[in-house]
Amino acid sequence: MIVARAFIELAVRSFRNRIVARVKRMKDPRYAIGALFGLIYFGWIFFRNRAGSARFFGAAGPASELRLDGVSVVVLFIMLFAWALPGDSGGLEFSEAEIAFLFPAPLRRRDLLLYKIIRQQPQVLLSVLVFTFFGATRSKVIGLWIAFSVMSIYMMLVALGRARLRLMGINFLVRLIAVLAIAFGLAAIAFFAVKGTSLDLVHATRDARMTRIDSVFHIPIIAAILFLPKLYAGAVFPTTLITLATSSLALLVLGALFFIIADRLNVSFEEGSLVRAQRRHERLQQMRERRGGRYVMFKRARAPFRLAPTGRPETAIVWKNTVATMRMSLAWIVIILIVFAVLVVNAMWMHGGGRSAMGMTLLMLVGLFPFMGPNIFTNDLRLDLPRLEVLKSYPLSGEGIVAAEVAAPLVIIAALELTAIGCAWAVLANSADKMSEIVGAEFAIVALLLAVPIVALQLLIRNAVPVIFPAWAARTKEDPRGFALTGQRLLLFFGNLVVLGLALLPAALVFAPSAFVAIKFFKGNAIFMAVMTTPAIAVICGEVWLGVRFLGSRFEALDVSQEFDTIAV
Amino acid sequence: MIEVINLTKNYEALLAVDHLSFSVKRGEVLGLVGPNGAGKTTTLRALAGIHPPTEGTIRICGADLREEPVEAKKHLAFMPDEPRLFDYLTVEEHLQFVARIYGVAGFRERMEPLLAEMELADKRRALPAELSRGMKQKLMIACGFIHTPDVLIFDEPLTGLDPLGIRRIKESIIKRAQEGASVILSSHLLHLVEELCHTVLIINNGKRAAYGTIDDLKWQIGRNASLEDAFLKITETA
Repeated sequence: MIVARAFIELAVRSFRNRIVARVKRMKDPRYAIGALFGLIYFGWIFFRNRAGSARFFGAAGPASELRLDGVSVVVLFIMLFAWALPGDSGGLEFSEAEIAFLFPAPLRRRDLLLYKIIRQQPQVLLSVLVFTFFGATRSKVIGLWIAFSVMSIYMMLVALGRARLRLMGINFLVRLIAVLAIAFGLAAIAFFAVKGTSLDLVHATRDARMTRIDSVFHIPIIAAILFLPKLYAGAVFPTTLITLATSSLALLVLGALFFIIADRLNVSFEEGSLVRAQRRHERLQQMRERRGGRYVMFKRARAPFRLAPTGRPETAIVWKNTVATMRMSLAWIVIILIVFAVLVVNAMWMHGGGRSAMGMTLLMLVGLFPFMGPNIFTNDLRLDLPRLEVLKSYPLSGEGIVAAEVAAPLVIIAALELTAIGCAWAVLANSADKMSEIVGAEFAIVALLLAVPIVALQLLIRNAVPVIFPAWAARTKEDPRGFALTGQRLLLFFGNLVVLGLALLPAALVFAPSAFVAIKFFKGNAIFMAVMTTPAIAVICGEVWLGVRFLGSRFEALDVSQEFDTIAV
Repeated sequence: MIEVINLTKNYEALLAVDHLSFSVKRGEVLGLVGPNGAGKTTTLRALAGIHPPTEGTIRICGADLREEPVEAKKHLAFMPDEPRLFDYLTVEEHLQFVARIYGVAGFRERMEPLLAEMELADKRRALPAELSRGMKQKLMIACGFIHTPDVLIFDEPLTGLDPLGIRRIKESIIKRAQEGASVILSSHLLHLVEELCHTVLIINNGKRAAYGTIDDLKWQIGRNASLEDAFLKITETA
C-alpha cells in the first residue's frame, strides 16, 4: 500500500511538473508562438469534426445498439491480434530514469507492474478528456477511463504472455498462425450462425435495417464470442446507467484478473524494457540531431567523385554531403527513378486519355518536386546542425559554407527534376490530345531552364531556418511537444510558402511580358522562349546570390551556444 | 602565437567571460582551469572562432580573428569536449575531408602515421557508430592534427579515453608542443595540467583568478603545495 501511494505521488507530481514546465516555457516567444498556432490548428480540426463525432457518440435507438456491436467487434479484433504482434522480449515501456531508479530498488515485479499501471493513468485520463471533448457525455467519462485502463493492463498482460510463449518455444510465426486460425474459426462460426437467418435488409426502413443487423449480434454463439469485448463497449457507450455500472464493475474485476495473471506469468521483463528504452533513446537522439530518424543505410556507397587533397576547400563540403546522400538517401533516388520509369513505360503502352493521365502525373511531380525534394534530401546545413561548431572552426567564409552546403542537394534534386521534365515532355508531346500542343518543346525548354534556379531558391529558404532561426530547427533536450511543436512546423511551412512566393514574384513579373512577346511575335518559338526566359532566370539567380551572401554573413555572426539553449560556460 | 586582449563574452544578462587577457607562445602549453561554469568552454569557443566575442581582441599567429577569420583559422585546430563527427563518413574519409578543407598536399603520407599514432589504422573504414567513445575522441584529435596546425585548442581532451589512450594523447600533445605548436587545454584533471602545461590560467566567474607558471602558482600557496592546493585556495578566495 505504501508503495502504491508512493507510485501515485510520483505519477501525479511528474504529470504536474511536466505541465508546469511546459507552461513556463511559454515565456520564450518561440514556444509561445508555436503553441498559439498549434492551438489554433487543433481547435480548428476539433471544431470542424465535432459535429460528425457528436453524431457518432450521441447516437440513440437502434443506431446506439449497432454502435455497441461495431465497437465490440473492433475490441475483439484488437484483443486477438495483440497476440500476433512480433515483439516477444516482454519489454515494457519504461523511461531511462524509471529504469535507473526503480529496477535496482528493492521492489517486486508486481510492484513494477503496478507502477506501470499507475504511471499510465495521467495519459489515460488525458485521452479520456479528448474523447469527452469529441462529444461523449460526462456520465461516460468514468466508463471510458476504466475501459482504457483495463485495456492497457490487458496489453501489458499480452506483452508478457508473448514473452512467456517464447520461453515455451512458441515463436512469432506459430503465434501468428494460431491467431489467424482463431480469427478464421470465429469468422466461420459467425458465418454459419448467420447463414440460416433471413435478414431482408433491402426492403426494410433504416431503423428496421439496423435492428435486424443488431439481431445478428444477439445470436447466442455470437453474443458469447463478443461477451468480453461487449463489456468494453458497454463501458464506453452505455445505453443506460445500469449498463455503465455493470460494465464498469465487470471491467474492474477483469482488470484485476489480468493483473494477477500478468504477475503470475513471472516473466523477466527488465532486460527487454532496457533494450526498449535504449532504442527509444536512440530514436529521440536521431530526431534531435535533425536526421528525422534517418540513418546510414548503405555504408559502402561511394561518392560519385574523388576528392583531391588540394583545391577549393568548399568542395570538401559538397563531397561530404554527396557521400551523405549516397549513404542515407540513395533509396529515395532509386524509388523516385522507379516511379518515373513506371509512369513512362505505362504511358508507352497506353493511348489517348491514359497516356495524358500518365503525363499529367509526371507534370504534377515536376511542379511538386522543388517543394518535396528539399524535404527528402536534407543533406545540407540542416543535417550539419549538431556539428555547426565544428563547421564554424574551419577556415571558410560563411558564404562559402552556405553555398557548398546547398550545392549537393541542389545537384541531386535538380537532376531528378530535369529527368521528370524530360519524361513529362516525352510522354505528353507524343499524346494525341490537346496536351501535346501545350506541353511542347518550348514548355520543356522553359521548365528545364527555370527548374534549377527555383530548386536553388527553395533549398536556400529551407537552409535559412537553421541559420536565421537555429533554435527552431534544432531539436534540443527541452523539445517542445504537442501544440508547440505542431505550431512551429506549421509556421515554418507557411513561412516557407510565403517567402518562396515573394521571392518568385519579381521573376514572374519579368517573365510574364517576356513570354508574352515570345508567344505573340515569335509564335512561341522554342529558341525565342528560351531567350525570353533568361531575364527571369537572371532575377532568380540574383536572389540566390544575395541570399547566399546574406545567409553567409548571418552564419558568421551566429552564436551557436546562445541559439541552441546549450550555454556551456 | 595566441594573443588574447580583454576578451569579454555576454549571454544576455550573464557575463560568461570578463575582460580576460593572456598569451601563449610558440611551443608553450597553457592549462585553462576553473570550476564548473567558470567560462572555460566559452573562452575556448571564442578562440576557435565559433562564437563572436562581445568585446576584445584575439590574434592567432598575428591574424586578428575578427578581421581575418579565415586566415586566423588556417593556423588552428579545435578539439571540442564532445566528439562531433559526421555519422556517414568513415575514419579515413573524415581525415580526407579535413585535409581538403585545409589544403594538405601530402595527405596520404600524413594520414598513415597519424592513424598509427591514434591506433585507428584497423578502423579506417569504420563509421563513427562503430567506434567507442575513446576512438571517436582520438579521431577528432587526428582530424585536428592532420594539417599540422600552429595552434591547438583542446577542451577536456582525455574524456572517455582508457589509460593507454590517455598516455598516447599526452605524448601526442607534448610532441606537437615540442615541434613548436602553441597549445591550450582545458581540463578538470589537475594532475594532467601539472604534467603537461608550462603555464596555467585559472578563471573563476569569467574573470582571471590567477595566471603564471605552475611553480609560481604553487609558491603563492606554500613550499610543498600542489596545483590542486593552489587551485582550491585561489578559487575559494577569488
